[in-house]
Amino acid sequence: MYFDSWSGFLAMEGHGLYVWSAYAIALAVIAYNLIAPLMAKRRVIVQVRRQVRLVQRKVIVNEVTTGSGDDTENRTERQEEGLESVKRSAQ
Amino acid sequence: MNWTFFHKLGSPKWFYDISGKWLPWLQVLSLVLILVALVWGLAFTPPDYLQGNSYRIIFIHVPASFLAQSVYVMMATAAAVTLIWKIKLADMALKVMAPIGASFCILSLVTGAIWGQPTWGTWWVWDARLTAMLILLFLYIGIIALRGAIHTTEAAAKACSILSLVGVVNIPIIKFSVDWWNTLHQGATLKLTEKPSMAAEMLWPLLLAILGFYLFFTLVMVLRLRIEIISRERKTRWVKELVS
Repeated sequence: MYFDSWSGFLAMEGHGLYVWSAYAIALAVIAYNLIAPLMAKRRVIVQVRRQVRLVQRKVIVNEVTTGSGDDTENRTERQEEGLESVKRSAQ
Repeated sequence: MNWTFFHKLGSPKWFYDISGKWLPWLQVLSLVLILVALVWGLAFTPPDYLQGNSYRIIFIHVPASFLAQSVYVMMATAAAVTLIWKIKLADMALKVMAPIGASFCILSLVTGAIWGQPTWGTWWVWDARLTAMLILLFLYIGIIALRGAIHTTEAAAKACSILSLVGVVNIPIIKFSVDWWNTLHQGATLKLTEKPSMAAEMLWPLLLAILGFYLFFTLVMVLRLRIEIISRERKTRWVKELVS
């Protein structure tokens, strides 16, 4: 260690304010670069999930309204599911 | 020669998978290196005979400045790849590198100003090196703004690539500004061809800091690139499976 004491280390022989503010700003830039991707990741995953759900719901609503489906048994089951999800989204 | 490697390199899914394995190494190495270098530089190196303790800003200022310029060169390279081969991953890289480069360009300018006050007696002068560095920041901001202004991905990729390539002319101007003009800014401390004009006890922490900053950039770029891949490949099955 070059400095004799903590106060000497903080004062930096009169240059303390310059040196420490430069290091504080460097820390802020490093923190920004770490936090920004974490927040972006959460945002993007929510977006993609919402889109996947939206597409699924559209398919179900389409089946309910047009009555299309492979077989009658499967259709009624999916219609109920679809109606429920439409109700849920309306609430 | 086996060309499958080259094709894989441009595949977003392949990059997503392999980069996941790099992340823990990059996190630990970059942060440990930066911590060691900065503590070393702050507390264990002797002061400069001329500048006193204010020179300790060098351990941030020089790595940040190197990074600000290298990131721009990498962006210009990605821009060329985007224009010539139309590789999607290259344009994603171009997009995610811009804010990282800009943040280190700001760090370089601000720490330079803080260093300038006790050393030159002024925060800012319009000398060649400082002005060229400010133009670099404007280029970064311009590229980010340009992408925000264009909504089609393909058109934005093309426009940003062209702007990045045009702007690269500024990089040699920054580099040689201290030789071409009489600047207040000092000449290069580190040169590839000559012995550094710096004592070893100051040089080692500086080299460590530079390495740490570059690794940190790689880490942040990989983190951002992975998010960009999820965002742009959202219609593929593997991304849908990944998020659900």
